[in-house]
Amino acid sequence: MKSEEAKYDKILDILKRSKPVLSNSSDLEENIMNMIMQKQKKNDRFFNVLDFIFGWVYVGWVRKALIAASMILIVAFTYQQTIILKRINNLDDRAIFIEDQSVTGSANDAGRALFYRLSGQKLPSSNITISEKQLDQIMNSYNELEKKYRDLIKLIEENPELMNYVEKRLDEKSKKKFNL
Amino acid sequence: MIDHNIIEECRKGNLSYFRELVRITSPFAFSIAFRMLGDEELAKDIVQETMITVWQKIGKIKSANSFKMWLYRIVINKCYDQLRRKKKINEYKVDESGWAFISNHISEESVSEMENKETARIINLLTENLSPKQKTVFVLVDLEEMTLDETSNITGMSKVNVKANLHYARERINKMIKKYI
Repeated sequence: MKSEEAKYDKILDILKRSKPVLSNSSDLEENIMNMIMQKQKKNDRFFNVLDFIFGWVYVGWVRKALIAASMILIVAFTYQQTIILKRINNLDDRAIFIEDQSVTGSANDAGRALFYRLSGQKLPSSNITISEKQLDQIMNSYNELEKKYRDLIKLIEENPELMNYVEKRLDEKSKKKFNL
Repeated sequence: MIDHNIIEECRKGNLSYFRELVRITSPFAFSIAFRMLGDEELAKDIVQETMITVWQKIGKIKSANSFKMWLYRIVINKCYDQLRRKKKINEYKVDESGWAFISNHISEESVSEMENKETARIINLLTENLSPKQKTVFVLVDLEEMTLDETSNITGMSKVNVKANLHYARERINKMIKKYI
């Protein structure tokens, strides 16, 4: 046991005496300083931008508050823009495209085709883009108008006095129109 | 001994003083890292990482008095991480020629100094079977000749824990000596 301890002590003695020698310490020192400078430069660039923008504020806490506020505004603006873009894309998907003589896009149901046929006039050569909702509104208004017109004709036909009066008025109008 | 003025200047962000601090403290840091890891290049990497951490956090130390202990703590923590990583990769292999080399050295009458390579070989052989904690305590107390209080302060272990780890480290090394020498 004693011999083991003696060996242990001897080994320790050797190791204690053999202090590790740091070779090329100047290179190591230079490497460390370069790495620190590089990190420092990166940080400095960021702070230089902040100084350029908020350099006119001399009170520390006001400057920090302004930086924080500007960051919040930038984040809010980016968020808002993202939402708007998303909604525009969503609307774009819903819209149908009506060209010169054909209905394209998602306008494939009978109602919209009828609207196109009844519109009669030639559409301008440039594309008109309307949403499905707007198209539905136009179709509803047209149907309502057509129904009212039929009701009015029926009412006139059922009442001979009213029919005579209308015919008479129409005759007068046509005479005026053609200067008879 | 590190001049307090240098540390104070470094805390203010003075790079030329920090260069001086690196020059003074690198050998200590290297000595511990080398004895902990038994690899010169790895020890140099640890010194580099340590110095960068020192520069980044030197403003946070409470006083210049505690600087040296704080520096050792950073080195030990970095070595400790490295040892844990290394432990996962390496498996123990008996190096018969290495033990013969130690045997020859201790049989010599006069104790001569060894080169880094030889020192690393002996430390690696002796501490191969030790856990990172045991190795840390062995290096700090037996090789760097620190007190139990200083070791406890650096490693964050209690004094009792330091003693226990040191006891097991010595016991394991003695078993290896008995077996191979």
